[in-house]
Amino acid sequence: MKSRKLSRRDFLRLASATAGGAVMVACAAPVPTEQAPQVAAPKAATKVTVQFWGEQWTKETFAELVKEFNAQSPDVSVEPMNVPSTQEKLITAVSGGTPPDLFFMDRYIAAEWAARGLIAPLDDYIAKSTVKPENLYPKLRQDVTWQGKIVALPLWTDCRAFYYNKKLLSGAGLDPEKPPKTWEELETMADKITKKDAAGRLDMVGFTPTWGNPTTFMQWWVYLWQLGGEYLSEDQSKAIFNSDAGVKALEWCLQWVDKLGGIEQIDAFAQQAVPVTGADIFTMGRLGMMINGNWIIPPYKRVAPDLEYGVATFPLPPNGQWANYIGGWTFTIPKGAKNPAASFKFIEFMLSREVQLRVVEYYGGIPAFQPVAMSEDYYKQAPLNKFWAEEVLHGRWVPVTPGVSEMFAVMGRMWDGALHKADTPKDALDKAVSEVQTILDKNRPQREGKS
Amino acid sequence: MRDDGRGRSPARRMGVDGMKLHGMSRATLNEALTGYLFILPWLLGFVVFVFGPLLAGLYYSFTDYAIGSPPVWIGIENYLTVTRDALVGKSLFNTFYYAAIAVPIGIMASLAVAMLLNSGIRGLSVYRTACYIPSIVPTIASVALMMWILHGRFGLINQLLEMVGIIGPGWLTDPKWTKVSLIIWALWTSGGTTMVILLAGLQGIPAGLYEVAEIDGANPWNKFRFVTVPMLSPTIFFCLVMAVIGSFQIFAPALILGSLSADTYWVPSGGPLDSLLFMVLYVYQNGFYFFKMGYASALAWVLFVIVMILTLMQFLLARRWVYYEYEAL
Amino acid sequence: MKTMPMVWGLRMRHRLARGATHLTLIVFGVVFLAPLVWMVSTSLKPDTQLIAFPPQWIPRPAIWRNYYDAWVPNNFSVYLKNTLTITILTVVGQTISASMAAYGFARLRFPGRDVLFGVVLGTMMMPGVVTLVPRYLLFLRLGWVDTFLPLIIPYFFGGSYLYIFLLRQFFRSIPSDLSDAAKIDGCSEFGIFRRIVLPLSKPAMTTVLIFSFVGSWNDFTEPLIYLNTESKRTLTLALRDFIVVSQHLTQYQYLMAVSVITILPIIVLFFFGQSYFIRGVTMTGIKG
Repeated sequence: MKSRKLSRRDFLRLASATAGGAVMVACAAPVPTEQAPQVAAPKAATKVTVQFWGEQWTKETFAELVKEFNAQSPDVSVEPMNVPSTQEKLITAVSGGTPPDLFFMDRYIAAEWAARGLIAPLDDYIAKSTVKPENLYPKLRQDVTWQGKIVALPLWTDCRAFYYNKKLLSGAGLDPEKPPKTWEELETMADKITKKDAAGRLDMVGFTPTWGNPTTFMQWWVYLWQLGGEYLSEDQSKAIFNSDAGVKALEWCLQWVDKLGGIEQIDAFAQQAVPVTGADIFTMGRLGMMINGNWIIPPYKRVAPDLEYGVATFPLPPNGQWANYIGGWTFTIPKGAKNPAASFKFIEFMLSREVQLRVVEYYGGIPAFQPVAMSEDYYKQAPLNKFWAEEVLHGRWVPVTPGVSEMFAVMGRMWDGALHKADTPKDALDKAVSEVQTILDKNRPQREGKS
Repeated sequence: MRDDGRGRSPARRMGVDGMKLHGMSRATLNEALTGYLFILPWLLGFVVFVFGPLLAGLYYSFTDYAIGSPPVWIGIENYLTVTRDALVGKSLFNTFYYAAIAVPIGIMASLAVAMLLNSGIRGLSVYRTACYIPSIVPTIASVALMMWILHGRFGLINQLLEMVGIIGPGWLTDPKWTKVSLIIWALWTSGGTTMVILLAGLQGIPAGLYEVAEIDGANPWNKFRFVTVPMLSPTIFFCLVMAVIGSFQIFAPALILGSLSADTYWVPSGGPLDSLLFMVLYVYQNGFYFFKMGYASALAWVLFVIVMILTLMQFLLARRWVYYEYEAL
Repeated sequence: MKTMPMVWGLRMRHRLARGATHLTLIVFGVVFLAPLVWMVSTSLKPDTQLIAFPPQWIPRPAIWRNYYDAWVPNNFSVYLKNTLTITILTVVGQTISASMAAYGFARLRFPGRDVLFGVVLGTMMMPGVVTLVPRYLLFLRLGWVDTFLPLIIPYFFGGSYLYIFLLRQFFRSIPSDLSDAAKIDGCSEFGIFRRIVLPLSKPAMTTVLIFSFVGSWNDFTEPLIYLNTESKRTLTLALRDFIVVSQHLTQYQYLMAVSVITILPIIVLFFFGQSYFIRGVTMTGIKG
């Protein structure tokens, strides 16, 4: 009788099939991953490589600047990598033990990441360098300071302005050189421009706070500040934005929505411009006035060179405060970076006066360092630069505090609910305040320095 | 290979002498070990990639786990939060709304088409191909296409509607219509698969049964009710169960379509007014955007339990209406 | 007599029914295919015709360059390479591990076999989301995040259990006489697997091959979670970024163009292996 034996040979065949597969994969997998450092091996022998995560730095002027730095640096070579600058990428990299050496990101996350221990304080390196944080615009400096230490260094900032289409203004019988200075003027002027077509759909819109930049609930923030309201208490421990100012700001936004026939109408109207590259309802001459960022000017010149429009400061409510909304991006060094000093050399290079000026000329931002921004060199780059530099002084921003991403989700819902009439403004804000308060409470230990 | 038992079989190597070990013959032991060897890759994978994570997830669901710091045990607090979380209710509502509409329509429409195809007409494979191809299109591509076709202003649908004088809604921006858009997409991309399955089922019904029914004087409706449905019931049941489970797994289209109208692209939005917030999307948000791994795990387990209960209910109900051939009439 | 008009009526009704059937089916077919036709049509349109009203189905002229303009500056060749690498390796792993497990469950007896197979069945009905986060954390700890490994390795160890189920059904249907005869000739179990069962299972194996190819090619959620660096993206991920990131500037003709390219291999595969697709889907449904 034959017994069914699994001969050793067959066993090995089976095992090798599986093992072979695993080995094949283990050998194959590294190939698609970044191998660039090895390609640069001859240089790496003498230079430290800095892995730099920043989407835009692999292209155009940014890439050129990196090359320049690499050329003039005796011991550091920066290698930009195109990784989306989203939170989760960095978080997983740091947690997984493979962080990049340098990261370029939006400023508002600084506090959250510092609180989570994802980025390292930079004071030691600053002290030994030519970077002077006391020259930063005060608000920017405040944003990047966490528990007394500087955790990020801004490269540029941006702000918004009030834009108005001169032709549409004069077409409605208004003086094209006189943009509205108050909310009341804005309302009257916008009403004259708004038109509906034969089918009752919006054909021209004078103004809507639901479009432009900042978008969605973030534009509400501007109105909140203009009315003297605050989002959080000074020490960031309480959510206080359901104050009268908050409600009034939201009601004012909603009034526009009502006047124009509902948010669905406005959305449908705004969607008109999407398919054609770079054009939007403003360049197409369908929107009379808007709040938008300072960076739209170069693209607008390309897309609509004949568009006649003006730039002004925001219209204010009675006794309103001058408030602008400023963003911007910063450099940070993640915890666990291999050679922070090397990374900082690049930061130092980028933050030097000349390089800053070159960056903003190309990108359209505003230098983060006040002396640079308020200098003739910057002013002469473009006629509006003086205007921008001053607006930044009055800039405010989203709360830079741990939990801010969750807050964004809450605020987004608040805005959506109010616009779609699911909640009254007061209810929407009350609900949001209690949710944000929960987030703040949860993050108190981080804020107070005990993690 | 020798047959006198003095070979180098595994049983032998284990020192089994004679013919039996624990009542098993060496041959049986051999077969058992070989069997284990064959399923070894699967077994390893199951333990490491399925069962382990399953239990780990259960553990995490009882913790507060923000990535970067170790998990902190908090007992059932996450689950309590789940019961209080308005968004959980919203996402369950969305899922049930979607399932209640998409599943019956999908199955009935697919059945109708399958029956038409089964009536012995020519060109069957052409029609079948046409309906099936959307099912194998990558989700992202079909979603991108739907986005364009359902564009509020320039989409094909609204343009066609405008040609007959109807102003179409904002399919993807109006919270009242987003789920309808999703249902349209779902019917388009899964209708074909369901139809193919049902068609195969129909083809498996012996023609003799219909003939017998006709002799008994049955009209088409009777034939459908007393022959087709019972004989097809196992297949319909399968499609039903799979469709319901599928409704709870919706993720990619909700993620993409939902992030359209909201500009908050740094938070994967659940669509206008969270009309497209589905459970898996909410788990993803919590796990991969807020990095609340503990809460995300609890949400996932809640979903798991709900799906299990629903599937169980369906199986229990099946006894009432699903007819298996080997059962006595 | 009365029968004549009745017969005539019957045939007429029959023809009408047949005509109506065809008409309905044509409508369905058109409705199902129209979006895809529109996709191709859009991909070839110049800017001006994109939003033309009434809708134009045939672009004049057809801008084939759109495909080049969408593909090249956006680095899609890299994504194609990534997707191919991942997909091919996945298919290899899936086929090997699934067929091995299926063989064990189908043709060998071992204690706990039915329980373990029950586990396979049960897992098939488990929503994947419940292991999403823990698996991610596992791969994070292994340092496999931002590599292709999490997308490939699990398939060498079972992968999608549906295929184990299907192949087991198929293997069981192979008469045991064949394997018995082989054993008498001294063939080992693995040899039977390799030399008898597998060759006889070519149709089923091909179906598994095709389906796992499509499954991996179309996969979105896993690459979304595990791949970070832009150069490692798969086509589905790239497509999604194309949509989301450039939302306000999306030129739909480019989006449609890359979508068409992403779909093309699957469509080609379908036309070459149509019967396998149908068989595969059918097998799932009937055996379920």
